Amino acid sequence: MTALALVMRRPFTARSSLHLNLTVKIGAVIVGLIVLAAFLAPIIAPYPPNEAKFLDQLQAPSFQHLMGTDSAGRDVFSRTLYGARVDILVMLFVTFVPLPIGVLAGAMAGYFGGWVDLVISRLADLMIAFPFLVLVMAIIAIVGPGLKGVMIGIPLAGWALYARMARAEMLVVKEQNYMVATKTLGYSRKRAIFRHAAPSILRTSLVYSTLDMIVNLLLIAGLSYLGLGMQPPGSELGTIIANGQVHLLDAWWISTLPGLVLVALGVGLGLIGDGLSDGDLLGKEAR
Amino acid sequence: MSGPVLNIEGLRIEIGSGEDAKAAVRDVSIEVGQGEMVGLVGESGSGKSLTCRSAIRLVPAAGRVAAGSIRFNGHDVMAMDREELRRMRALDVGMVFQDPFSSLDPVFRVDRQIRETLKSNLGMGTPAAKKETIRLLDSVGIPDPERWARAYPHELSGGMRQRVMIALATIGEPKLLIADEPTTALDVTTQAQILDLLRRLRDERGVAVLLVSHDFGVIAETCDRVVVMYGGHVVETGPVGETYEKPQHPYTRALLASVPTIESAGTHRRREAIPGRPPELGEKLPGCVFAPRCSFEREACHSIDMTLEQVSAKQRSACPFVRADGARNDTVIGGAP
Repeated sequence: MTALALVMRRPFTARSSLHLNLTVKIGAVIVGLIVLAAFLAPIIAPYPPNEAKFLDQLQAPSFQHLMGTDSAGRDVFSRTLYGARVDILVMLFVTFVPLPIGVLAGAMAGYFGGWVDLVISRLADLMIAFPFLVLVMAIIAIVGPGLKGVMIGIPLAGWALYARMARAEMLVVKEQNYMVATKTLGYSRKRAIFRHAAPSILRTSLVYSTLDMIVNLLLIAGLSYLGLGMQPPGSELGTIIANGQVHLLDAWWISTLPGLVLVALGVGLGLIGDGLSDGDLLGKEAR
Repeated sequence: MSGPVLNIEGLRIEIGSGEDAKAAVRDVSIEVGQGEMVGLVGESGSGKSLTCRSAIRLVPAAGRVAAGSIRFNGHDVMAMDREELRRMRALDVGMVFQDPFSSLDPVFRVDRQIRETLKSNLGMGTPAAKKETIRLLDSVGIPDPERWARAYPHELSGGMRQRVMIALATIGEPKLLIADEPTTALDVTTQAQILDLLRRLRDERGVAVLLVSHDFGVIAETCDRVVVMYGGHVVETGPVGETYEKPQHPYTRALLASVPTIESAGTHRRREAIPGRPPELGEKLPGCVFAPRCSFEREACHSIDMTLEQVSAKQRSACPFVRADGARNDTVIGGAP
């Protein structure tokens, strides 16, 4: 978060401390709590995630089992903590691996133009035009079900949007006098792109990445829900929700409570992104 | 080396490609001697910016140099490979832009960008670069350089930014400084200071300066020699004094006549505007491009080829007729029937 904030500070706010607006703060608290709980899972989870107690099947939420138990008598709260950890890690991976690749590709396409632009842009168009979910599922079909497929499939398609945004930004930045000055001052092209164009280009991509994280989070959970992601008995929010679906009428907590955690995480990330994009960072006067 | 620093000959720059190519600069020749200050004057669209940018091969992507030779210190600029070109831009030629508000990278403090340039272009180490940064800022007249070095570009005034830009441009002791309308965005007092600075650089360090402006006054104040451009052509060239006193080409006369003078202040006499409009990009006019707006226009104007001819000891003009008329600058311009 601080690294992100540093890159995105506008010059005018650079000297004063970074004012985060309320939206960002609320989002940060929600996300922070969930992330903290998820990563402390081995310490705070009351039961091992896969410990099945057949005598405690389908117990309603209580102080023993905060989110109740599922049909195998496993503690849903513990499974949710471990599951959220998997979701968050995979989400970060599939968002922040394609981001730099896409930004670099897009920056190069925008800066050099010509055939470099042609190749990269058409490739990105191809990825964007291709139905995303179908592509990811096709890759999962090739490498087999499991998170490996998700972690290959999503980045493979995900870089394209970043490339497109970075290219568009680069086309604008390139015409700025200070970029023309990198030429007249005899800077190398590497220096011009990485040091002088990159900060401006990264800004949009980082703001967009908060949105992308939510999409990816739901995608991971969705694929697991469909049985294409995390395989049982591993716990992951999507699989937990899918697992409880048959009991939605007699044991609502199994699907609903982990589902709410997923929603809260998504909303928290959304609030952060929203606050960052319209408040301090893109220069609109929202403060 | 005693030859000219910059020698442009027969330059033709076209915008667009193939069939649609439109010539924006036609058959332009300019020479800048060592330590010489040459002014390039002309109205918007006359091709002056394109011409000066071509000197370091910085013609925008839409345009290309279609003909002519550009030589810097005798080296063919058009034939340089990327590394030679980069070295030339880094060390031998500096460039200052019209808009000082956007020519410094907004995310770096002033000292950091100067230091970075020193390190990458001269291979300086950090301590040396730090010292040199302060010295450079001091040399371009930034007061309290230690303090202002820590500022971001947005915290500086336009004049200070232009000074910083000049400091950046003069890293590596360049032999030529190209200043493309360096004072247009500045107010008049600041303008005078920046022009002073450019002149001082020339006097103290022998940097040749190619100063581009649409303001004859700026050039008259600063330069040794002037090149007047109109519609992509050079129409007149000569020493500033003579050109100012005795403009040869009707366009130069009209241009000078349109400049307000101190005597005209408070009177209700309007300045002489040049009638008509400048030629559009790619518009092909037979003969002299200025003929349709010229008060001395005659039949023969439409068949001349606009080559510069020696019209006096030091002046050259592209108009072969006006001087035969005996019409001098004392003739009332625009007063013809």
